Amino acid sequence: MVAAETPSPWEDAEWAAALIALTGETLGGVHLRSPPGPVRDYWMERVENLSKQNPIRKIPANIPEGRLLGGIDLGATLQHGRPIAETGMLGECHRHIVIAAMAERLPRNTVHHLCTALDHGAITVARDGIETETPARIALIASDEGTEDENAHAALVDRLGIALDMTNLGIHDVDEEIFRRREIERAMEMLDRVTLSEEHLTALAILTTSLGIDSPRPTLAAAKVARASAALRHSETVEEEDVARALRLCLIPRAQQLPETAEPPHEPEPEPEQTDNAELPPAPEKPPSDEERLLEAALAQLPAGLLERLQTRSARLRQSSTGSAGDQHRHQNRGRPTGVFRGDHRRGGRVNILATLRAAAPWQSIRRREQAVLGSHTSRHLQIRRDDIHLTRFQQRRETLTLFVVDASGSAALQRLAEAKGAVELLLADCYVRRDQVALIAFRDEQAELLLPPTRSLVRAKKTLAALPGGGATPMAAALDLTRDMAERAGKQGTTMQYVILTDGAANVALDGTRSREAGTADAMAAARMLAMSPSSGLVIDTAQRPQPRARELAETLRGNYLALPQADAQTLNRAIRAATP
Amino acid sequence: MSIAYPFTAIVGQDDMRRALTIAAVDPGIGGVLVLGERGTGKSTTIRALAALLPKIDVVRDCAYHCDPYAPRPGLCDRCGKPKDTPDSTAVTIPVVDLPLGSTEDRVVGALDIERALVNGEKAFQPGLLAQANRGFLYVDEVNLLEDHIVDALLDVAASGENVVEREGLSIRHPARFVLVGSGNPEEGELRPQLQDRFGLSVDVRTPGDVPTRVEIIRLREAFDQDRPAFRKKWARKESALRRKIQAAREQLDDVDTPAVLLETAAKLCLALGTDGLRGELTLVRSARALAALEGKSAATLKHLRAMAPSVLRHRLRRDPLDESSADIRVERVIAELFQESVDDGGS
Repeated sequence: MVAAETPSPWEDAEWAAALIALTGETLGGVHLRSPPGPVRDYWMERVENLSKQNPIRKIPANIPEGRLLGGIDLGATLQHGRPIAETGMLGECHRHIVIAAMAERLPRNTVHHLCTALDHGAITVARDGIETETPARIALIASDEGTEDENAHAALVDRLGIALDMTNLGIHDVDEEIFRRREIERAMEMLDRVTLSEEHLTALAILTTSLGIDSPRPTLAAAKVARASAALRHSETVEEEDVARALRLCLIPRAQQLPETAEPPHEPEPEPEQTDNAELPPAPEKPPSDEERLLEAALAQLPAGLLERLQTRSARLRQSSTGSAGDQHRHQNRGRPTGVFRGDHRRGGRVNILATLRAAAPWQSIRRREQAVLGSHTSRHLQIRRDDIHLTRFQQRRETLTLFVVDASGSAALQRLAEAKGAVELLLADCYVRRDQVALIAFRDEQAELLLPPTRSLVRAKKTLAALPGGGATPMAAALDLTRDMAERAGKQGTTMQYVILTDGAANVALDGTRSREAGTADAMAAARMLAMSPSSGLVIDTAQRPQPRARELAETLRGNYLALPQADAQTLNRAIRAATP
Repeated sequence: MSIAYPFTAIVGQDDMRRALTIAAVDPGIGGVLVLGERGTGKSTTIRALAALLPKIDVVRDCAYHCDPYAPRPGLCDRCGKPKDTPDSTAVTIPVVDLPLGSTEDRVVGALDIERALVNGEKAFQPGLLAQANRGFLYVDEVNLLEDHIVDALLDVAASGENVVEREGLSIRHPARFVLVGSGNPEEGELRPQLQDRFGLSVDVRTPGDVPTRVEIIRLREAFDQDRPAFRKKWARKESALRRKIQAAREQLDDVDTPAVLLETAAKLCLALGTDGLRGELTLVRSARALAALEGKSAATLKHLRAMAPSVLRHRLRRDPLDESSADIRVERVIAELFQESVDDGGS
């Protein structure tokens, strides 16, 4: 019955909808990659129709933390004169299916709270004088419209049992409905009785490993999906068909590597039995097993083209395993509250209820007496006067991003690259004290490439820098253009960028890829003039053995500083950079 | 609170479990930092610990869980006043969550608005730090904690006392807690000052081998299917460990520390170039706690050896150019040193 025929692209989506309706809360939810459009809307509608739960709620990406978690209820608090908590969005969504729109843009803190709700079915809130634990069992549909370099945060994706890619589904692919709500209800009754055999469970674990998935959560989700799938077929035992479905919906979309052929490339610790027959051809103790067959079957059932997309995507995922959007937004929209001050709320600013109440508290009995004397009717309501109003003062921390633009071409000796790597790491080691970010662009041959996206993590930087290749021509113009892109992006996020270019200045690749010194230099100078207009400051470090005028010219065009450091090692470089940049 | 997964049912992750147990035996060790990738059971393990901890005697109705038998100075204002032995009651050692997004007033405590408005009283509403006194304070994703909250934590963690001077209040209360932090190092660095505050640090990884993975999933599924039944099944193991921790806490003061232990600790720290004395102290303390946990009357080099990586890993001076990880550096030095001492004392 396995791999009977390739399921229509819609079939898996329909199953996913049914599975979420059936076991949403225990499964976590769905990581849905799909552009907005009728197909996605229709799928959401299917989920809503199939689930007998409360209506679907939607959490906007830009929800403020206070609203998400809950806090003080302004109206009620003022009315009753004591702090009254207001349930946040997560609490309101208890036992709902929740859609996180634009999941790839969720700020890191929102991701964290969603993860907490998914893990524990409850959230703890300690803010604005309120301290509670609110139940928040949710099933989350993280709707990810991310393009190229944007992905929903890995911590969130890891907790969502099903991963569904509808990017290539058109309206014509939408097929017949397979399930009705009645069937979901019947499956729900059966679910507890479904058994998953030890072999199938082991198969899932082996497959997870061979697909290079580290976290155990997807395997757990796959086991649940397999059970639920059996229940939806009215079967009390999990069959291969169910395992294959779990594989397609939970594991394959997360593959970090694709098992090439029959040989499952799991590389366990050198175990005694393996060392014994080290010389023998790897005669597998287990016969060419169920797992391989299952995997092959499942791979065969995947829609064409998905594999290639997976491969490129997983390569990218590995590069930036911590979703970029979250990182970048960390400090953007919420400055650090640095205190409260007495002020007029009509001139803007956020009223700090607690401080206002605290200011008003001592005067309450006096004001009541005052009112009584004046003869106006005395109310037992809280009396707040304009003088009491306190506002919160926010301070937007300007983050600094230091971008290294490293010439990795043949003309800049390979040695330079090693030094630049060292300097980046040293600078980063200093930066993390100030919580600044570092990024790195390398340019060689045809192109400039952002090798290390802005990060604060030394761990991540080290991983990336370890594999920095060198050699080839010098596409300076492309590098400068990319630098300008970065400067603009940083500007939009309220980050101040400074860049450090390590080069000998010998541009020899034009923007269109032609190799010529003149065209290359001309393009580079044009790009430099553009970059000079962007809101960023620059430093050019001349790495040539004998300093040449061309690097100095570049620095002048960039209106940046120039430094000749022919003998620089990482330490000197780091000191120079720190001295030259603000 | 939802039912926690049993601590003893956690598969593998021995380092993390040992570090947490040791911190429960001797809270003075200074907290545990758990770093690791997604899905390594960091948060599950720490929450599991809460359900495992033994009870302690506290003054009845004291917001700070003051110890009724402790010397008076160091207690809160109310319990510190001389009077007869106060009423006491037993409560489970608290594990307090410090969620991201907490505001400062709830962390350190602030004026109790309700009482201020209704009764016109100036009363202090204790915060999370008060609740965590004599217990654990857990910060998930500690590397994402906002700076001003970190600042508040740093000071209190060092002094064991929370001083509140705001809104006309002038309060100081004991706040000695075991700080437990977890996080994924790929998402950002921890401020070095905060990192220093942790006594132990463990690095958790996902288990790679299939049988362990299968075991994890089997247990987790059983737990998810019927939580109360699952806990019941593990109840015996849980209470055995709880008793062991309890016994170790009582025995801790009687554990001997041979001179060779102190010497080796000093050598180890010297060889690794860790700053300050804190490393040595923690090394000795945690070796003693481990000995107490094993019911031994004296700490031995074996205990020291077992605890050394957790104690020293995060104390190495940062050298970005040394590619080898902290673990490897610690292991290298330990191997050398212990080789030596085996040779010295061996024949």
